[in-house]
Amino acid sequence: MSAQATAVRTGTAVREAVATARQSWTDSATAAGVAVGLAVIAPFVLGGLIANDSLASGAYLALAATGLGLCVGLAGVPSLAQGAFVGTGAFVAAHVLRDTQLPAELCALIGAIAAAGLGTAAGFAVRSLDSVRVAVGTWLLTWLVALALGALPWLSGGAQGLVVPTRRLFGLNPTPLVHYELGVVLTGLCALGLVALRRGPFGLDLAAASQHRGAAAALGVPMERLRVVAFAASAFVGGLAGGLAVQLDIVADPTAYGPLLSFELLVAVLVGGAAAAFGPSVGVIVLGLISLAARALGALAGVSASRFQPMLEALLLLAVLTTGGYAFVPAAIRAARRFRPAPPRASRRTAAAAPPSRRETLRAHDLAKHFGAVSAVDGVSLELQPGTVTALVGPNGSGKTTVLRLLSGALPPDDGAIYLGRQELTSLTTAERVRAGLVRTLQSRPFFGELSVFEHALVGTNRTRRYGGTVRTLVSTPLFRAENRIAEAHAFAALETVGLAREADRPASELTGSGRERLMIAAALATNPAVLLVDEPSAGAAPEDLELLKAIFTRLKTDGLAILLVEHNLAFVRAVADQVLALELGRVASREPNPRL
Amino acid sequence: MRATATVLVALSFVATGCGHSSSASKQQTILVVVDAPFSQSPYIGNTIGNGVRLAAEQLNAQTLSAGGANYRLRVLRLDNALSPAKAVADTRRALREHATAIVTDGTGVDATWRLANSKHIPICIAYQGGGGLVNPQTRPNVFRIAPTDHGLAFRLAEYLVPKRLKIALLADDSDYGQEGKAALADAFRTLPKSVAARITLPSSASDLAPQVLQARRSGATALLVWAQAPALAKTIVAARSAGWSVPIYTTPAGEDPFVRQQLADHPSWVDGLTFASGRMTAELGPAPWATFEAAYETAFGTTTVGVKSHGRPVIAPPDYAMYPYDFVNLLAAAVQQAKGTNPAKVLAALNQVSTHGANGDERGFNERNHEGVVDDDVYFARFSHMVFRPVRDDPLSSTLPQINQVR
Amino acid sequence: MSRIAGVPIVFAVLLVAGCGSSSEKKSEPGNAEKECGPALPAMAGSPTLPPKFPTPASVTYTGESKAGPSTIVKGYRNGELADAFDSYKSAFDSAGYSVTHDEKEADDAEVNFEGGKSTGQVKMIQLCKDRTSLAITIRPQ
Repeated sequence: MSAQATAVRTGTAVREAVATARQSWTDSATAAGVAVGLAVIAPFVLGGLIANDSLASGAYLALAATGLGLCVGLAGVPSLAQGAFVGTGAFVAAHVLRDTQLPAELCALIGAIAAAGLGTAAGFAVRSLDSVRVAVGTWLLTWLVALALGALPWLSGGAQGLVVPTRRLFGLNPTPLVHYELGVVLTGLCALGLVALRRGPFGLDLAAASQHRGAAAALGVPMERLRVVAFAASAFVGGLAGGLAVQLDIVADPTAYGPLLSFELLVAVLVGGAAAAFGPSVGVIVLGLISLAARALGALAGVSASRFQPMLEALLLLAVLTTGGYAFVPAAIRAARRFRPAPPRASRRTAAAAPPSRRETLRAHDLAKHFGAVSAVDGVSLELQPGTVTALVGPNGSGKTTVLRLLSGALPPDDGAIYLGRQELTSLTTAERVRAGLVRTLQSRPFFGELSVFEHALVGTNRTRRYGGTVRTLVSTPLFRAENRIAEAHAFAALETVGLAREADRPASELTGSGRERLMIAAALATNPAVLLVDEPSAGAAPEDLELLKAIFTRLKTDGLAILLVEHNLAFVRAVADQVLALELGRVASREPNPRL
Repeated sequence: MRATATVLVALSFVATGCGHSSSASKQQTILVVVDAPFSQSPYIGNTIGNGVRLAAEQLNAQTLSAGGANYRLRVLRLDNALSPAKAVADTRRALREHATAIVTDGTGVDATWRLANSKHIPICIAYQGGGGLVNPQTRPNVFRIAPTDHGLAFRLAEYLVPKRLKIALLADDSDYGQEGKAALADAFRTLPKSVAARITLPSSASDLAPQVLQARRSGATALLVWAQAPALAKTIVAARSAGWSVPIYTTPAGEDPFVRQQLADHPSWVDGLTFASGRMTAELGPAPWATFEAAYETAFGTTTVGVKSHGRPVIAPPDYAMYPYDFVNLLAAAVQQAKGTNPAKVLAALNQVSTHGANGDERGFNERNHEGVVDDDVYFARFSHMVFRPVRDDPLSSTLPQINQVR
Repeated sequence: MSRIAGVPIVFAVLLVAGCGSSSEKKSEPGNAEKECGPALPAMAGSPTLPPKFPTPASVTYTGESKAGPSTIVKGYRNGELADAFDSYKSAFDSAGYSVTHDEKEADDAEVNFEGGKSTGQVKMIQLCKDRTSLAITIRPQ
């Protein structure tokens, strides 16, 4: 491609990006921009009221806290290891600075990469743990790093710390003012990145995984991989903050990166607002105010302020948690919206272009699953043809749900094989099966409590994306934006199929049970499946909802989907099914191509 | 006539008063920043802070003049919490506030000296004795008035080896212990036959019986413990509770009230504990020290150890407060020599002036030496009934009087 | 008569005992006025001193002992304390040693040195009218 053509394309892409940004500009964005501007000029306005080195330390703390916001706010994972990542970045950068002549900014980057490595390992270790165990595990990691620094003087420099040579930073004399401005810029960029990620596939998937693991797993969300990525990204930012802060401090201090730092960073995130991009920064400012209060209390009591500070921080955190978790930034946004409600979001009603339907046959041969002496499933074989509905019926305990779980990958079979077209699925994970074209809805009608109806469907489309990676999302490449438009169109089409298009912007929590059932079907459809496994969709449905479901299944058959329907409602089965398999004690008792009841 | 005289006298008083106030308005400030671990080690922090404050108050009472101006000393206490990064932040603050000097326990000096040196601000270490902290050639603004690890280690070796003891060297895993271990390695380098074992004491261990047993099995006939007060106390407990009456020698950590507090239930276990420290009195006799101690106690009260000797409360003499006290007096002399507080001139003058220290000893530095306590001024004292007295079997110590430690 | 003669004898004995004692010699007020008794004999051979360690004029070494890693060399110098003090200071300078600290009082003085891969102190005490005792402590670096 000629240089001129490249320039034209780039210009077009930039204009598109600017237009997109203007479209999605909100009052919050304006407030954030003003806040960043004020932060940049703060040293000149404050006139020495707060020393520049204190401001710079605070800026790097805000950067580390914003990084932690990735884990806590985006992934919903309570990491208490951010202090360890900051410390890793600091000490690696310090050693590189001492042992090489590399530029200061590169040394900080190397520190960040080392921290990301540790974060990746930590994320891998806790990838499938619940929140409590994650908190405990990461807390132990922080202690491990702190103890290692204390026990290894060659690593930490001992009580005197590791003195760091002073080197120009981005060509500038590394004064505290330069460090402060750099910290502000990096924190702003990181917050911007948080916003971009939250709105993109990565953020949606993480939000879904944090709000309902089962439902997210059913939609093929690669939760464990995402959690590892979140840890690594969070640690990278923390390590970058550490690698720069150590150059401000001119000494890597082994006492500065212990559990207390991890605790303070978590307090900052929770108090400021984990879900808000600038919430952690606000939390750091609140910590600064606490520091002043601690100093005043210490002066009154005649003891050091450091005795009061952790206590006050803990009290503040308790207050935030026990009053319903209303952090500062979300509370401020809520208060602002009372005076100036958010304008209605721009309609996404683009022409719905449904993805080409995939027509594949699912074959399961001699599936078996035993739980001890009990055979839940024994020698079950079935074939799901495109454009047909196969109903699986039987009394409670006959093995219907077990068959669904074996087919979807939630349970590994003890025997048998599963094929989708020519591809064998038997050993694939649920997420891999969803990508291959096999998806399931859950009986319990779970939903992602904080997402809108539209965002639910979008979670499904993430399985089909090629250009939705983290980096492309951050940079908002033309391919990402183009694919985004397609994904949104497909999500809307899925909502139209199930009759929820008009509810697109409503919170999913406002839907009825039947509405949520249809929403999960829409999310499953958004994954562009060839095979859909549906578990008792008619349970508790009113007559008009049943009619809706019948119409949906008829439409899906027409589209060429192969559907396996587990049901107790025989009338519903008769209305929609092309074939009925009856299970009894884990075996196929009968197989009827035309249902007769 | 009388009335006129009265008025004239009154007017003269007024004139004098006016003159005073106008000269008072020319009063300038010498800011001395104390950067010490007040929160983490209150005993050390307050000792240093009080020593500086006492000297400042005494100098302010006398009116310090230099270069035609009067000076008043102001003391600013900052807590470094044993953190080098905090020490750097405190040094930056000291520079912002135009400090004339910084007095520290030694935390973070490896990082702070360069910052302070950029503005020619002297730093005086008043506690840590580690090697490498002070070097007049490479760190021209760093001074120390405190016994050095080198001095303590060599004096201990000089004292113990002639006794033909088999010494187990025990050092804890703190930086204090490890630096002491290095100093002892240097002192005992040519005396392998005198060393029965070299053992590390884990600071976090609640019981040091295994390490003490290891020392006993090595055939040691004496323990030389270089550790912080808690580890030292645990070592004594481990030895004595096992019925081992081995003589125990140690560093100034032995003088820390914590050791006696931990052993308050077994005062006899403290008997015989011998420690090395900087001498409190000098060749001029105990009078200067007594004056200093009285002034210190008037200003800050006595520091009670929390134990009793023959039924009377034991106090801790403020010996380590002498060092920062002496430095402030040296600083005042340097300001007078420099005729002002020009930092470069004051720093240069510190290499030239000398004063009589709190104990009467001459204190001073020069371009080749920034150590205010020579190795030979290390003495030894032994505990008996919770108070200590100089030993009689060391040439220096035998010349020193016992300091009264009960009230 | 015998009682009167006995006094200086006792005095001399005490003086010699004081000079010959291996313990720290205490400076006493008024030593500069006291008449000196017989000096201790010089030691056989030369003491173990660091390389180029200065020996000012009129210095006689009387003994050497080890104290752990350190060497202690004893001796005396004919002359006043002030002369001995100044002699050692200038001798150290000439020999390339650093004088790290010095202090002089009425009857005693110290000069601390560094050089010849060692550190240490020369402690001087005015014993009597024209004699200053020397105790040189040498610590290897």
